[in-house]
Amino acid sequence: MSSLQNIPVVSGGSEKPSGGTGNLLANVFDELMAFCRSRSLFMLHYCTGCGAIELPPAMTSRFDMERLGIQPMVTPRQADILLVTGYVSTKTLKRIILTYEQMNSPKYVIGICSCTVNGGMYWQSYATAKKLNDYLPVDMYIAGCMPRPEAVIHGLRELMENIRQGKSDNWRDYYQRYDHYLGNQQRLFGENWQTPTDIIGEARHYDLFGPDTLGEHTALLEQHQTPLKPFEMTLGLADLPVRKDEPR
Amino acid sequence: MKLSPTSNLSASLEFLLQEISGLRSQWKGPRRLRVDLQAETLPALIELLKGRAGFVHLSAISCVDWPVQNEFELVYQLWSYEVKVLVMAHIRIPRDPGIYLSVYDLYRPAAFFERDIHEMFGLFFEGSPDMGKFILTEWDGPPPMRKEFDGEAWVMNQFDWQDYQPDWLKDIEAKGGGITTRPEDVRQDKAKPWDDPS
Amino acid sequence: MRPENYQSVNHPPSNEFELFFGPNHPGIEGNYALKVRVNGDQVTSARADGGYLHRGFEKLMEGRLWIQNIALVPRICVPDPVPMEVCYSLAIEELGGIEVPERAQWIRVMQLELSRIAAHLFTFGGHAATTGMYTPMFWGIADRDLILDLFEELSGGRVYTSSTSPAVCAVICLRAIWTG
Repeated sequence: MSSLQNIPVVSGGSEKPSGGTGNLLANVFDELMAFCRSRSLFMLHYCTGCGAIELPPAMTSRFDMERLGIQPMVTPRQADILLVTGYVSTKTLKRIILTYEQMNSPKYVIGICSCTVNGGMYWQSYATAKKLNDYLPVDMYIAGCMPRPEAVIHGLRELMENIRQGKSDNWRDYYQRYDHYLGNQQRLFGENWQTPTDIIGEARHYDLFGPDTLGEHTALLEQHQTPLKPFEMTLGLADLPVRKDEPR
Repeated sequence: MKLSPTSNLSASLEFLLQEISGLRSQWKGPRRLRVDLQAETLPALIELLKGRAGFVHLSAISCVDWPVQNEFELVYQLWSYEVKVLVMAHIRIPRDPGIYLSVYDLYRPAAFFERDIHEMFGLFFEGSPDMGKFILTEWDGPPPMRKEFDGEAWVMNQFDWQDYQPDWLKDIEAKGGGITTRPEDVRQDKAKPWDDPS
Repeated sequence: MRPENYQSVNHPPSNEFELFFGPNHPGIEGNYALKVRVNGDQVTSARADGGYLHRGFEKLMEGRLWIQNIALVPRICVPDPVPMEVCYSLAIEELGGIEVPERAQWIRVMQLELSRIAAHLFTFGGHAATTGMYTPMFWGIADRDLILDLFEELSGGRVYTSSTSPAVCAVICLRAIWTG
């Protein structure tokens, strides 16, 4: 249940407006926002693996999580936390990265169960990803196999405390070191991996462009990037049997 | 109803199985019959069991890789609801072309098992409706369940691990000690169980 | 728009469309995707898409000792882990010719049944939550927690007890004899 403090987070553009003149009221609004944000987190539980079993007990009436203000949310567009509960297989990791990029900042990733930390029980497996913070910036790890709901709630409370103090903003790290994350993703998925979200454009727009945003991996991405087309929904089910009471 | 190797029903089953040539059968338990036969006669056995003996349920098709004898062993597990006996039909096919025919026209669920075996072992089944990938869609290496594929070496090559410097270790190292053997440097000495030439 | 310019286009009926039920659902605890074609409320055809939870168990278990696999086996089925352990133990006992004492068999059956009831309560809650009724979900999962308390008393772990194994059945017998 320790947060990773050795992820170097370059803080650019978040200087306090007081500027050292001792104006105590300069940060009041920031602190109020941080307080409110930490008290009302919406989590998108992407139940990737084993840990999805201990999440409903943590959400329901015995170890209630809603008293901390944490509610489950079904769509990533309106969620704050992405809970990665358990091991992440390669197929799921693609979907998680797509989901993460669809969430709005500020967003936090919590890795539950030991499999996200360092491989866990399946460290020899060819189908799971070992270190989650190679691919996504993780704010809090909650170790266990599986962690008890009390442990999950303790981890969430630590995350809330970190948010209130302004210490956990690893979502900026995704923009500022996008090349590093993209390199790891390309190493696992192949060179023509691309997502519909334009991270570099967003980094420029939100002034989070760091020295490591562009690099060799983003150059590869530019080569393979195809423009977005509308999704052609054809199932190809012409050969499968159709229900008998279908009109056609 | 308890079925023992000496009851009437088992006798009639064995009488039925005499129609297939080159078949050896052995009762492994009160409800488990193991049958070893040639790969060419398997479709005849399956038609016999399904049509005349009422073994309408295909429980599974599993595959075992024998690298020393250069063969794949396929096990077809058929269950009958009336007599409640599981017949396990073992066949061996050579590893080199790795092609066998599919029993999809007799048992529809076979398509699923054959697709799975094709993905994991690289064994092709002719006549199966869909041989596309469904589990390992993001995998582009060799078929992972073959014995020559070393999963651990592939993992150590592909992924990195967390660096972990806890305080207690730093204290030990400050006094001159340290870790002598790290777990990831010691490959587990697997005593090669598949070298068994039986 | 003049009448002579009007061309009628043959559209498909507007209540037929394709949905992608992605791997993450709020109601289930595993990942499974379906591409369905619906006509209003009726599903006319579907194609399944699984494999999101693939870990390569067979390959993992090949490389470990039999006693190391006892920790790996319950994780095959996450809501209902005990039948997997019992299957594995039965296989090893058959290979090794070990006979299980009767008391251990009874304890195994009790564990199996409790685990099955816990899994059914979880599913019952999950189905209810997906259709919008949240009260049965709270009740189901709360009752399941009482069963998990029993498992915790047995071996210390709420979900994965790993306490069914060829070696441990004797230990359970001894413990049962000690505690009466």
